[in-house]
Amino acid sequence: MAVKFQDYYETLGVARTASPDEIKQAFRKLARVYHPDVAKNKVTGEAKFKEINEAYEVLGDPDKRRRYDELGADWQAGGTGGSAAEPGWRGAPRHRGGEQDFEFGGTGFSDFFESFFGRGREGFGSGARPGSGAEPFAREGPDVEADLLVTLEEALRGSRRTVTLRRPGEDGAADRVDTYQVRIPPGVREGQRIRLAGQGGKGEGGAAAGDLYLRARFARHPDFTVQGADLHCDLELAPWEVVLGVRVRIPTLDGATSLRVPPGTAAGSQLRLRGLGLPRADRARGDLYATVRILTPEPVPAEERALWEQIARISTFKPRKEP
Amino acid sequence: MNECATESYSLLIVRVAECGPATYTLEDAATLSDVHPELLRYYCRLGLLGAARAQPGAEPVFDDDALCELRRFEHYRRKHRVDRQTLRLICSLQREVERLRAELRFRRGP
Repeated sequence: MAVKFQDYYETLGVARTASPDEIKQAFRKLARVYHPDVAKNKVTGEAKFKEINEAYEVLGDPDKRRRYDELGADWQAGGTGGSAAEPGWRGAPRHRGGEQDFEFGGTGFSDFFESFFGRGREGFGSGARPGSGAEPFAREGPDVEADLLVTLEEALRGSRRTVTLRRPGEDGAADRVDTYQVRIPPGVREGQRIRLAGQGGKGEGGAAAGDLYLRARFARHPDFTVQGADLHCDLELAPWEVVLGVRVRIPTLDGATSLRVPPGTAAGSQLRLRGLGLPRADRARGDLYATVRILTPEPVPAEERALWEQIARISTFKPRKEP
Repeated sequence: MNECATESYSLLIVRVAECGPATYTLEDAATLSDVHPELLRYYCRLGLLGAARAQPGAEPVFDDDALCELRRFEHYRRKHRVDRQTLRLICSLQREVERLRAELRFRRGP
């Protein structure tokens, strides 16, 4: 079964020479359009959002991007053109459960991503489970892990997801596709595993099958980063807004809310919105921190420049000690 | 004449109504990972199972993460003959890698 090549540069609409900032900007722009909470068409929006996320997961990480670019070089050397990439990656490892290949669907990551950038390919198991009626030479099937893309909204409110697992049939039999309804609880942590007992690799000699573990991986959000149960976002302000103070609307996972920026707020200050983060283990919620960034107008219109020059002349403020 | 490769599927719906996170007692976790309960207590004392949560004076409770780690340890111990001190080292390195990955991801921003 060949893996379909994913052109992540095309997905984000950027050139292969794009800078990290250009890639970030492209992701944020597209993610704001296709985010499941705002997309006009929920179904296509969600699918597109997952594609964008996967592309940014690779291109937004210098190490993964380098590895991906190296694959691209092999693909061109293969000379196949189109989207059917060749020698560098065809036949690359899948989720391995002993000698068995697994193909996941509905996890939010493509088979291409899982093959080259996934972290859960290893199959492992502890041996024969007692009481399984296994033969003396029996070996329990290996455990299998796969990543499950979880949006921050899902982590906040919980959700149900349909995940499919395709296993090759034995002795020429048809492949088997199992479908699972997975409950993602509110407050799921990044990296938290959900166990599907006995759904991993098949055992030998009558021993039990291994387990399947789905590991939550948070989708990138266009506005927020996650630190534990706290969320962080940038709050971009004009110089006069930080000097004079202002009331602004900022996005949160619970909808936009109003935030008062006190007069004299310094760049880099963090303004806390209590209880607007992700759920913690004790069911209380973390906080949302808005970090102040000051943007300056560019270019400065002549009339405004005259006013800034006037401030420079009359102000007694000294931001630094002269040596 | 070109041969057209066709792929056929049989679809089996596995009814797992509440396939969500679970918790396990020490005995259950020991059975599911085929270790002796005393060995599991020893692992807990060594701090190998970070996800195990214990109330003072009560048996620890294990979640899916702890069970997965435990089964992985047993795999290393039995198949690769890794001793307990090395397990401890592997465990601390894995946690450090996960922590640094999370930190790096946070520092890179949205």
